[in-house]
Amino acid sequence: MLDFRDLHMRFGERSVIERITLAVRPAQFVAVLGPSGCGKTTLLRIAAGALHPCSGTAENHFKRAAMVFQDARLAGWMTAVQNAAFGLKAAGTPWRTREQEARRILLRLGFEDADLTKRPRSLSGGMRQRVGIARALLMRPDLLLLDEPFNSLDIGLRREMQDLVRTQVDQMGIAALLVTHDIAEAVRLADRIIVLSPRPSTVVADLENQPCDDAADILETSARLLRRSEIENALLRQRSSPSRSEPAISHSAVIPILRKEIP
Amino acid sequence: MLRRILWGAVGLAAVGLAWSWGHAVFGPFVLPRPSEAIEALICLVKSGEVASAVRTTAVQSLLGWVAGCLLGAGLALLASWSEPIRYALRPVATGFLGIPPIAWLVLAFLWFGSAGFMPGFTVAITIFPVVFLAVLQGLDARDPGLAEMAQLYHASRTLTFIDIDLPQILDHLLPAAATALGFAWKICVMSEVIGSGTGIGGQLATARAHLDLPEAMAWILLITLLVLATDVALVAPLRSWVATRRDTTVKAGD
Repeated sequence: MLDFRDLHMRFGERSVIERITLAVRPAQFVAVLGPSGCGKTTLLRIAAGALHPCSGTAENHFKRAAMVFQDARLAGWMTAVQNAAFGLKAAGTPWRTREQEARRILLRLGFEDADLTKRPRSLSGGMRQRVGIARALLMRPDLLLLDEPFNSLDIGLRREMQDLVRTQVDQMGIAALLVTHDIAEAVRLADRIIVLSPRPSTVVADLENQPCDDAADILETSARLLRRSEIENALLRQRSSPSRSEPAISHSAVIPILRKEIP
Repeated sequence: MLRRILWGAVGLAAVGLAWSWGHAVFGPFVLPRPSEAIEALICLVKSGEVASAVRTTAVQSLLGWVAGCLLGAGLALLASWSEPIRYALRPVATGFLGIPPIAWLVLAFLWFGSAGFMPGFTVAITIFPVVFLAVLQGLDARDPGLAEMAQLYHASRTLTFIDIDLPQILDHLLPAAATALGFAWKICVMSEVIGSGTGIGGQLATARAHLDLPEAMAWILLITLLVLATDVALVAPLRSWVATRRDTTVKAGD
C-alpha cells in the first residue's frame, strides 16, 4: 500500500503541495487529476522515492515501483530491446535473460521482429511509448507510476495505449497511480479519482469510479464530475497568471456547452 | 562510398596537376617534378630512413594526442563535478586555446631540451583545451530526463555513467578528438623541425639544410599520406560509428 499523510512539499519559497492525504491499495487503479503545474509529477516522484516531502509521511509498502514517463525517456543510442531491458540491467539481470524477456514483452505489445533492433528515432510515437511501458512492466512491479504517459499521443493511439496499460494492470493484478489533467482519461481508466486544486495543491475530491469504455458514458461522467463546484473550481478556474503557451480557458464558456449537450 | 573515393581521388589529382604546373612555370629550384619527389620517397623507403622516422613521429604524435585527450577529458569531468573548478578552468582552457603552438614549442625546448617528450608535450598541451571544451559541452548537454529515468530505475552510478552519460559525451568528444588527431601530426612535425631534430621533422630539416628539394617534397608527401591513412584507418570509422549511433533513418510514423 502507498500511504501519503498530510504531505507538504515546497521548492525554495514556493509551496507546491499542501496537506495531501491519499492511499493506493494493492490492485487498485488510482488517478490523480489536477490542472497543469499543480504538483502531480512531484507526487509521483515522492511515491518513487526520488523526492522526500518537507513534512508529513510518505510510506510505500509496495515492493517494487516502476515509472512510465510522459515522453518515454528512451536512450537514442539503444535499440528498442536494449531500452526496454534497461531496468532489468540496472537490477543485475544477466544479459541473455533480459534480452529474451524484453523481446518477449515487446512482441506481446505489438512489435514485429524487425522493430526490435530499431532505435527510438526510427520508431513512431506509439511504439516509443510502448517501449517505455515495456521497460516498466519488465520490472514486474506491484505499483505502476504513470506520469501523463498518453499526453503526447493522438486520440486513436492514446485510446490504444490506455487499453494496453489497463489490460496489463488487470492481468498482472498490480496497483497503478496515474497522474493526468485529462478528466476523460481518469474516468476511462481509474477505480478511484482524486482531484487536486491548483498550486499549492490540496485534495478537493476523492471519488470512487467505475472504469468505462463507452465514449458517451465517459463524457457523461466527466460532465457530471465537472458540475461539482469543487472540481469545476479546481480544473476550470481561470488562473490569475496564465502561461504564454497556454491560453486561459474561460470556464463560463466551457460549462454551458457541456450542460447543453448533456442534459 | 565509391563515389566519395572517386571524388577524393579527383581532388588529389587536381593538387598533383597544380604541382606539375608549378614545376613547369617556376622551375626545378622552386618545385621539383612530382615524379622526382616520388622517386626520392622510394629511395628513402628502401634505405630504411622512412620506417624509423615515421615510428618516432607516430609515437610522439599519438602519445601527445592520448595525453591531451586524457587531460582534457579528465579536467572536463572535474569541472562538471564542481562549479568552482569549472569557473577556474574555463578561462584557463580558453586562454590556452589562443596560445600558438610555436609558443609552447619554445617553452618545451627550454624545459625539456631538444630530445625526449618535447614534441609530444607540445601536441598534448595544444590539443587539451579543444578536448576539454568539447567534453564539457557534452557533459552540459546531457539529457536530465534520462538521468532521472536511470535514478528511478535504481541504476548504479557506474551503469548510469557507462550507459547513459558516456554515449552523450562521446557525441561531442569524438569529433573533437578526430580534429585533434589531425593537429597532432602537424604540431609534432613542426616541433621536430624546429626543436628535437628527430623523426620526419628532423629529416625534413636535414633536407632543407642540404637544399635537397625533391627529398623535402618526399617527406611532405609522406606526411600527407600518413594524415590520410590516419583518417581512413581511425577517424573515418569513428565518424561513421557516431553517425550510426545517431541513427538518421526516417521515422516509421509520428
